[in-house]
Amino acid sequence: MVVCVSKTLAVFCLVGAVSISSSVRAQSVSTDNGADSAEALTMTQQASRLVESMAIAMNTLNYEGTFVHAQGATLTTMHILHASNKNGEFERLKALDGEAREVIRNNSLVTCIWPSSESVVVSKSKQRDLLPQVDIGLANNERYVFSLGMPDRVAGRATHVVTVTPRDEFRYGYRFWIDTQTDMLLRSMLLEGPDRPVEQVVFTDISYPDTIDESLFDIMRGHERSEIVSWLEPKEVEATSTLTAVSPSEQANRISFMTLPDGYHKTSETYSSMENSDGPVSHVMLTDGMASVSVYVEHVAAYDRSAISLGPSKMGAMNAFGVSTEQAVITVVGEVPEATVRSIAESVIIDE
Amino acid sequence: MSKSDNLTDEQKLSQLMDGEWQGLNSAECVAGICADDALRAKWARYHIIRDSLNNEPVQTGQALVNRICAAIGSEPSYSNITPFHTADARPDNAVQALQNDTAQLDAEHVSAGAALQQAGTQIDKAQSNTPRSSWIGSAASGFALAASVALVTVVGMNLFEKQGAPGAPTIANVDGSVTGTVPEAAAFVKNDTATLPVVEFVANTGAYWVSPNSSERVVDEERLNMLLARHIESSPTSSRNGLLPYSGLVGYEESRTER
Repeated sequence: MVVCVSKTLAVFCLVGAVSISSSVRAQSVSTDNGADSAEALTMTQQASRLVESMAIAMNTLNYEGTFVHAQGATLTTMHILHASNKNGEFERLKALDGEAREVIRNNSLVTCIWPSSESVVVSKSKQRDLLPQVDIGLANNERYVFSLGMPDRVAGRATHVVTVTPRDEFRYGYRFWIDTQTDMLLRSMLLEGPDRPVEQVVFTDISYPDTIDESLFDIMRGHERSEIVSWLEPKEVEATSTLTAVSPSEQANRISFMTLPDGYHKTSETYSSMENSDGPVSHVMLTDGMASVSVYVEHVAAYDRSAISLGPSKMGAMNAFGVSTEQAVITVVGEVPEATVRSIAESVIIDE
Repeated sequence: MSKSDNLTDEQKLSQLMDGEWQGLNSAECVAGICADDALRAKWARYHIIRDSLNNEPVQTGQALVNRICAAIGSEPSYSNITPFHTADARPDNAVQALQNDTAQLDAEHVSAGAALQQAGTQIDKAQSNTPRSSWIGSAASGFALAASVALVTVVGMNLFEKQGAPGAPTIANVDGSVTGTVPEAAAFVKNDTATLPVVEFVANTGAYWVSPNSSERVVDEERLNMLLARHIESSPTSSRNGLLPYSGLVGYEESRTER
């Protein structure tokens, strides 16, 4: 559950297209050529395993670095501090440009701070082991082609390059630069079509400390206590006291689909209240193994249609699609193409 | 007498930037531009504008133009204004100057700008079969998107100049969608010489939730952001898409959403 206690709500940014192509021309893996099929299979397996290792490394390594996040015409430099130890996972992400926006994540809360406007968004973090598991091994994922590119360097470190190419228009492509020593992601592109990046992350420097002091993730650190205590602490306390994790009893099965785009399947469904919604909300998570899509069904009989976006909405690579029925408002959100959210939204069946 | 003889240098520059090479003595055009400080400055601005409008990596144009002109100046055949008639023909030194831009990206400490810059250079290479991106286009080796925002006023001014000169080919013709939307969205202010559109961002459609049909911001941004926040925290694949889930949130600057 997310509680927003900001003067202005948090907005996930940003932006449209940055026309940048790959810095490495991926070596296509052909499975049609019989003579090469064994080697191709090996390359596919290598590439998919690198992506799986990358996902694990991002969650389990200690690392500190600076990276650039590019979404269309918006370019932001950020500092990240990430630790994983017996007490859990900690992360501190801070913008180095403009206002010192900051996100601090630990095992219980995600706290987003905009200091100059005293805006805070606090949400209950979810333990990763409680998240629905992706049960599709990437090597067997028929919706994407995994290929290895020529080795490259990012932030002074040698990298593997993996290109993940979708087989249809219902998903984006990806290109990852993965540290050869640590499996950490050092650069990534979200691609629409073969060569059109819509979002990018590029590390400019990174280090892997053996240990990171947990006090560095203290929300008060880096802020003048006198200025922060007046507006941050009460909000954090309020959020902590009102947020609860989703319990098994909230799991539900009220939503089904006429058809889904190939490869997408349901991994979870919850039924609970939600901030700013007049009725209970069903939240269904769909995934194809690489991308995820959320389907929200707000069970409200009467609502102000003028206050809700119906049809397509877009923010950078993120797409949403709204549909209204007599008894509910359906909104599909995900980092997938518009065709995907539209197709899913129009297929929802509500079982009352 | 060639067709280009009837055109002013400024018109020739516009045609060059638009990839309309036919009928132009390209070598003479470029040499003429390099010899005129005002045209050189305009050429640089056109690069910035074109890149901004196309959402391409933005080259800080003056440095590029200076390098090209310096290379041309030291190229004997080009200094003699040897005509060349195809888009593929190019002064070797100018090409070398551009190649050097790419080569320096391999420096050991790759900066963020350089990494993106490198990618920007390569997409232009991929597009090298198009006239526009042939040799000028392949030089888009700078990446300063923050600068693209700062330079919007320049873009707006040139869009306005296009409006004031119907029929004159300008860089603004490259992207019809932008030229169509910016004037509508812009407020107009007066100065001594003209009415200029005030443009806050060249490409703001990615910064907020917008309708893809109208590019207008949606009425329920806060609601969509709430849903997005829940989505990110609940996604089982957030580490697989490689985008550091909360980077979008930190990247958002609240002041940018003021309507």
